[in-house]
Amino acid sequence: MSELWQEGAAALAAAVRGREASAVDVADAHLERALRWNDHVEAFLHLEPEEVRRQAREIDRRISAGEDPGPLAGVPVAIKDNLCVRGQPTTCASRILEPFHPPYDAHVVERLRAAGAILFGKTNLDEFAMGSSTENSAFGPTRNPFDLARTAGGSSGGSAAAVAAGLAPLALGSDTGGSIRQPAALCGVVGMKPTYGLVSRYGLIAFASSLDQIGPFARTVDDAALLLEAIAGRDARDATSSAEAVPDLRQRGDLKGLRIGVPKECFGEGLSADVRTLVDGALGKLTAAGARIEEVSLPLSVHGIAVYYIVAPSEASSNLARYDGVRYGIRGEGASVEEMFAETRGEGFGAEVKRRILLGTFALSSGYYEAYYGRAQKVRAAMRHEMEECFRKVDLLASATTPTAAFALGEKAADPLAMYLSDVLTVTANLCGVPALSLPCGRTPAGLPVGLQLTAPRFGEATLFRAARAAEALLPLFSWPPAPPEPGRRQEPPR
Amino acid sequence: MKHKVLVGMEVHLQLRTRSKMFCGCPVKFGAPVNTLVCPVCLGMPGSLPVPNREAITMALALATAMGCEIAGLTKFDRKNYFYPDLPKGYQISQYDRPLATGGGIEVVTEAGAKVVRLRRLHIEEDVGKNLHDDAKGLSRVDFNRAGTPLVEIVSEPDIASPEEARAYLNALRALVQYLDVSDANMQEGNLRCEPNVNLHIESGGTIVKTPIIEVKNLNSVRNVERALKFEIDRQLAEYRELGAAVAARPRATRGYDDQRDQTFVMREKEEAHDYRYFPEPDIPTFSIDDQWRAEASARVPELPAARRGRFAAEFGLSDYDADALTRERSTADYFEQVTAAGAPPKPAANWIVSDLARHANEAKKTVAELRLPPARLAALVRLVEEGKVSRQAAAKDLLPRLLEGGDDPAALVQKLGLARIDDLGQIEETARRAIAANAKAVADYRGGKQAALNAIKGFVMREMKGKADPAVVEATLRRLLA
Repeated sequence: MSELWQEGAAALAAAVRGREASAVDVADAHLERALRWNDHVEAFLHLEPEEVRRQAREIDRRISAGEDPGPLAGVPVAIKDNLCVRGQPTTCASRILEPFHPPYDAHVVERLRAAGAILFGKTNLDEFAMGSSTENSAFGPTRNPFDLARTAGGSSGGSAAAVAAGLAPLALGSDTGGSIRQPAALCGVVGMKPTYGLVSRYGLIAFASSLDQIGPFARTVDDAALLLEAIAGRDARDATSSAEAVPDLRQRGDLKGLRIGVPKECFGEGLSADVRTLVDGALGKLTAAGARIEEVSLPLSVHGIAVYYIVAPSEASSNLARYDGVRYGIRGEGASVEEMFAETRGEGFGAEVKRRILLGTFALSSGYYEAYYGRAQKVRAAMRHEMEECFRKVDLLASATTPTAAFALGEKAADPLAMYLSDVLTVTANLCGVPALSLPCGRTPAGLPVGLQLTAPRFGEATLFRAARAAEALLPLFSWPPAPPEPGRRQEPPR
Repeated sequence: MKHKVLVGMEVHLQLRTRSKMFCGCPVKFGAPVNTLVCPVCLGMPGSLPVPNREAITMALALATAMGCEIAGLTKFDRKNYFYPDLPKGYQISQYDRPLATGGGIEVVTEAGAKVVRLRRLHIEEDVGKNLHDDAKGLSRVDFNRAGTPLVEIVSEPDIASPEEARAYLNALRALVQYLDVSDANMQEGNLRCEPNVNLHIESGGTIVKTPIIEVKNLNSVRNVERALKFEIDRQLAEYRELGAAVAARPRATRGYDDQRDQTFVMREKEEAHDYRYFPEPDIPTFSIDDQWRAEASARVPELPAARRGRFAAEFGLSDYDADALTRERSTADYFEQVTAAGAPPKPAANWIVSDLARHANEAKKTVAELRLPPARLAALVRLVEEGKVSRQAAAKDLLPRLLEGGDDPAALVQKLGLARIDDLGQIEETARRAIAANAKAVADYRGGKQAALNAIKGFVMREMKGKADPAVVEATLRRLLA
């Protein structure tokens, strides 16, 4: 057996359940690596080794007692820090929630506990998941394990980097406009956004409620399916949670006869030559394996970014109104309650969050609502219809996940529009509520990972995972990033 | 100068559900501060609202009872504003697709009956309560109330006087009590109302409209009436001072000070409060299907107006008695139980509306809450009707004993020696003593003052401990004094 931290989730769970390895051994192997690597990649905002070991000991105790802790027995799962974990810091990478410890677990966290998983720290993100590089984290950016000078992507950059660097075999992220798939692509791992409503959002700190969805990161499609299985399904506490049966995520099969549409709008200007070459190569392999690749058109998708940047900030401006200093989080000083609100929010929120609150407040304001929010919702409805029509002709859609490989930290930080455009290929799935998965399809000459995005119709996860498994077998295997310079700058756990 | 009063009423009514509108916390008044709260009603990060179906069904029953048109498709919206008692920074309400529109409430005043039309009915959540400790210079917030289901009922400005406003609120209260959807108690804040009022003043062939004033801080029906009276006078005075220019004055919100019985400015000018309404993304749009409508309709009982009519027709009661009996559903139910237990309806109605109502009033209870078993009251009514005990003695001596738990009216009549005295000799003897002892009243009566007889009659009744029939006593006195 190779080192424990190199194993996938399925293998680890099997080892722990089969008493070939103890959960404590698995936890220690990952803790040792995480504590060493985190100084370089800054994937974790909070990781308490004692708490991790406590959970692992409990799993081992249950196994000794003859119990089966569940399908993720002893598997460390890193949690994006916008998911509530009872009694643990949950900051959304924002100053405003720095002191916040939620009194309850998110639905997905409850489900992970019930599946025997080890909650393995809280990962870095762009503040309130607003961003595409984690540079908007109030606590510093996450770095790409394949090139520490580059971004890990965002907003779930910490989760992607943790899985890519072997700090945890699995991680949860949230995806509002590409926040799982984009960092997964840039870090060379599998990342998946489920159908809107497949996973309960209860306990996910809202950014844009109609777009947010929790999903898995893993190094293989099988492991991603294992994690999604653990968290999917109806939850009465989320009124948008679907009553549909969870699709069968374990199907296997080849690509013969599968109709894969390639939207021509996704291959226009802005797609870098490196990315285009790798994606074209991947599509060629799929064709050779029997898939029927055909060009399709989604003319409305070109409005995706415009619609997204009306809808998401509008909802965010309302969702973030609760951070007023009255009940939790930090509180500013002020002579009046209005001053206290203003001081709290002025100090607590970073620049990008403020920008989006202002954008959204404007788009919803009287006299502008119809021109902005109202019209954006109409275009969104038309986009959904166009997507449904397209799925009458094809089974899946394929494109690059991102227009470029990982960009350098600082490169786009001063230009919000350039940053927003890195979501151009991913926002459509959120606006249409459909599932999409990014899997690695090779590395650029500079050694940077590139992702292939597959998109399915609503609740089409069975086909999506079946095709992704088949594609994964044709594409280059996951490969580890180079070892970081030793030793780390600090040899201590993150806060 | 003629003027017309236009009052529109905005009422917030707390629904009496077991749990809150969007979470499972109990709905209760008077619990210790912040004990009925959870992540959802505290607006904790990551919490989500799930609509309470029972609250919607109650609101649908109310809408059905008021003849509103129920929306096929409806949704929740967010009303955004900052205030410490508002946990999420927005209130979940309904904006452009309310649960119901139209309909009306019948109100009865001395001027007659009329229907006040309704504009809309929608559901929203209540906010918390700010508690100010001025001594310490501290403010705290109690979120027990936050998330309690409310219906907002907005009327057209069809209410034409303070009396009609009172009648409107009383009719609405009776309605919700019949439906059992709210306690509708203004003191406890289950029913809150904000009337808006202005005048159309006719002068020299043109109509001058005074600015619409919304009145707040009203905690009783009586104060609503008083505040509107004050406001009408104030607007008239303003018109007399400014003439037609009054129309250009800003709309305003005024508070009511019940100590001084006057209104004062809270907010001038239509501060274009921009609530940035938009559809609540956490709750999908939903439809009210036929089955749900039927479920709501099934909860609508016989309503006060119908029951009033039936009582008058079926039992031959006066309009006054029928109205008094049906204002509270429990009282009307009680009356029907008493008649079912064998009491003749008219005297039974009289006992309930006069005697029991007075006892209930003193105890600050409803008639039903006096918990006098219907069969026992029926027995008492029968004893009086059969002449076994006088009406007066029954009211004065027997009823209080029954209310204290005495259980057999007939036995009590014997035990207390209350049996009616029909011995004419004894009555005449007492009457002669009364005439001898009341020389002045006798002189007045003989001088033509009919009322003077009451004093002599009262003497006889007192002497006989109320056990004689007052009519017999009166006839005896008239004969002796003739």
